[in-house]
This record gives sequence, structure tokens and C-alpha cells, in this order.
Amino acid sequence: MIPDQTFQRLVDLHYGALFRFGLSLAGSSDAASDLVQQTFFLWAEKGHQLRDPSKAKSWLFTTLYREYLTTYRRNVKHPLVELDDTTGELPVVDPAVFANLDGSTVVAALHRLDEVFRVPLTLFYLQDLSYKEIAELLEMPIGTVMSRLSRGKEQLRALLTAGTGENGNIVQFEPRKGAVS
Amino acid sequence: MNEDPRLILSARRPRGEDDHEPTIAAAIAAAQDNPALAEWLEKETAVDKKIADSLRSVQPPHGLRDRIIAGARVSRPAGGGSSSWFERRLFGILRYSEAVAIAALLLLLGVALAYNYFTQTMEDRPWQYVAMEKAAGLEAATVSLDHEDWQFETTTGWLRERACPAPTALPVGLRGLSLFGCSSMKWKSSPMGIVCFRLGKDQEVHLVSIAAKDIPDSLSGTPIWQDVGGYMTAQWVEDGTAYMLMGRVPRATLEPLLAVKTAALTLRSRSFFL
Repeated sequence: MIPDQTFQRLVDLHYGALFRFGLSLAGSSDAASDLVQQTFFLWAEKGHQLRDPSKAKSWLFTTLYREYLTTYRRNVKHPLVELDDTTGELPVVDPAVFANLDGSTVVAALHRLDEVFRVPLTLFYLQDLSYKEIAELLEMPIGTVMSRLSRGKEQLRALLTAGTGENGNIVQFEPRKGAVS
Repeated sequence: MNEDPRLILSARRPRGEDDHEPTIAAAIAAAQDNPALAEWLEKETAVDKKIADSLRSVQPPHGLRDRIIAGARVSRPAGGGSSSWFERRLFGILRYSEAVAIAALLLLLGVALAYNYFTQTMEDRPWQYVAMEKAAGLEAATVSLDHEDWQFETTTGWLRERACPAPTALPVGLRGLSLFGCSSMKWKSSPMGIVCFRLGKDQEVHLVSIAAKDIPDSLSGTPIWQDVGGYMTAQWVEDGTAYMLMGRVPRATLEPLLAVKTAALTLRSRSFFL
């Protein structure tokens, strides 16, 4: 049995990031909350079986992702398509363009990305996992993760700058069609 | 792996958590020697940091933490706590075997309740209705006669051997019909007999007998006419046995079967059975 204090500390450390990950995946606050609760529920049941406590964070993110695939994407597995490597010249974007960026806009833009890019990119921006840990979680080669991060960033910035008005403010995106509600 | 420093640096977290990692460290070193790459990395890091900060500013719904704690406690020996989420997930976390066991239990309970209801209902029904259902079953051939016979003496003898009251003689009107068998049954543990006759080509009439002391009805020697579930019946008592002549025919069709005896009742021994 996991002591209450240990469990609560684990919740305090990770439930916010897990919620944001779930929100990016499922597209709704309710669905994300369910995913986070289910993840911690499974941890309470099985977490003590984890031999290496330092792997708790990866375990939680992996479990949430699997729960998402099982619950919301039952018939669609994460596609393991190889993409062309990004060719050298990545666009340089002026950081000032994103001065007024807010969280909901980022979530909406992330949700408009293809899931192939959205999942690694969300994990990257949550900053809780290294690219190697992301590769492990998604069970894909490190080079593929780097490639998808690079391409995903390109697409995300294109979406965000496309929504930029003349005065430089970020225009809110509508949630992508088919989002889990 | 593509060795392009920009591709590698795209995987670098903007707050420098990965800077000690050899691949990232080498790419950073390469950027320090390349002004264009350094400028790109500076802007890349700034944009990534802004997007990451924006994403991290999204707050979980109020109360989620408490629901997580409460929901997780349900799965642990400490117990206590529940949430709407838990209720929604209840069936999802049931083990297959538990679900099968519960389903089997519910099925058994349903069968027991249905059996109890059925038997209780059968017990509570008047004897006339129990006889009527038997007659209907015989006519529809959903149940079989216990004893097929065309002779009155052997048929009634078969019933008496099974402790069923049976007529000692037939009403005169019935004697002209073809007898084809009998069955025994019970009403509240009281044995009943039913003797079957053909009426014309495709109709039947039945003479039911039961001990008069076993039934609640106040019958007399004078027949009373009553419709029982679509059957016209004549019911009377004679020598401690209650009789019911029944058929899916009009009263006018049944009356002649007793009419002669009605006359006999007056003229002779007040009996329908001559």
C-alpha cells in the first residue's frame, strides 16, 4: 500500500501536467479530468509494483496516454509512420509575435495538429520529459521524435502566426472538429 | 539519426534541462561556433519558452486534486471517498469474473422470483381456473392426456387409483359423447380429475371433479353457470364431490347435456348422474 502522504505528493507534482497532456489529447476538460483520475486510480492500484521510484513520472504519462488510446481512440493506434527528416533550414520566428499568447490558444492550436505531431510536441512543451523519455513513452526511435518535434513546431507556429491579427494579437482558434467533448 | 544541429536542438527543452546530455551539449557547442545557428537557437529557445509557459498556465479544474485523492482511495484498503468519476468508471474496473458472478447471481435471483411468483400465482388461483388451463392445454395439445381411454369405468378407475375424485356415473346427456381419456392434477394439494369428451367434430367438453370440502365455493346440487376464462361452466356438488362441466361453447350447448338429468333430479334421486 502506498502511504497517503507519498501518494498526495505524487499527485501534487504531476496532476497539473497530466491534465494539460490529457487536454491536448482529448480536447475537453472533462475528458482530461477523467483521464487524470483514471491514471492515478491505476497508480493507487498498481504503482507499488514499480521497482524504480524515479520512473513514476514516466509511468504516469505513459499510463495516461494508453488510457487515452484505450478509451477515446479504441480503434486508432498511434501511427508509426516515418516522415522525411526536416531539411536544414527551419524558419526563424520572431518571439515578439507570441507576446500575447495564452494557454487556451496553445491548447487549441495543439489540438488542431495531427496526432503524430501533437503527442510528442505536447510532451515537449510540458517540459516534464526529455526527448529520450518521450521516445520511450511513444515507443519510437529518438531520431523520429526529434523529427516530429521539429516538424510539429513548424506546423504549430504556422497555425499560431496564421491566427495573428495585424496588431500582433493571437486570434483564438475554434476547437478542431471531432474533438472529444 | 540526422546530425543536423538544428534538428537536435529542436528537441532541447528551453529551460536547459537537457543541456548536460551529450548529444544536446555537442549541438550547443556547435552553435557557439556558428553565429547564424546561435541566433536561430536564441530565438528558437525564446519562442519555445513562451509556448511552454503558455501551455503550463492552463490550470486544472477546481476540485480535481481532491477527486483524484478520493477516487484513488476507493481502490486501496484505507477505503472511503467516492466521486462521480468513480461511479462512471465502476463497471469499467469490475473484473470479468466478478461481472460474470454478479450476472449469474442476478439470473438465479430472477429465476427464483419468477418461480415464486408463478407458484404463488398458481396457488392463489381458483380451482376452476387451474382446471380451465389444463383443459386449454389439452385442447391445444400443449399437454398430453395422462390416460387415454374410451370406457367410462376404466377411466374413472384410473383416476380413483390416484386418489382423484371421479364421477360414479355420467350425466345422461354426456353419455352420447365420445369419451377419450382423462388426466389428474392438483389444486392446493387437493387432487382433481378431468374427464374429456368430444363434442361434434372439433369441440371438446370436460368434466372436472374435486372434493367439495377442499374448495371454498358454496356450491349446491343446483348447477350455477359461470364463464371461466372463455369456457362456459356448470358447477354443482353431489355426494361430497364438486363437479364442473366446461367447454368453449355457449351455455345453450352445455345445457342439454344436463337437461335430462335436471328432469331426473326432479323425478328420481335428485342426482345428475343416472
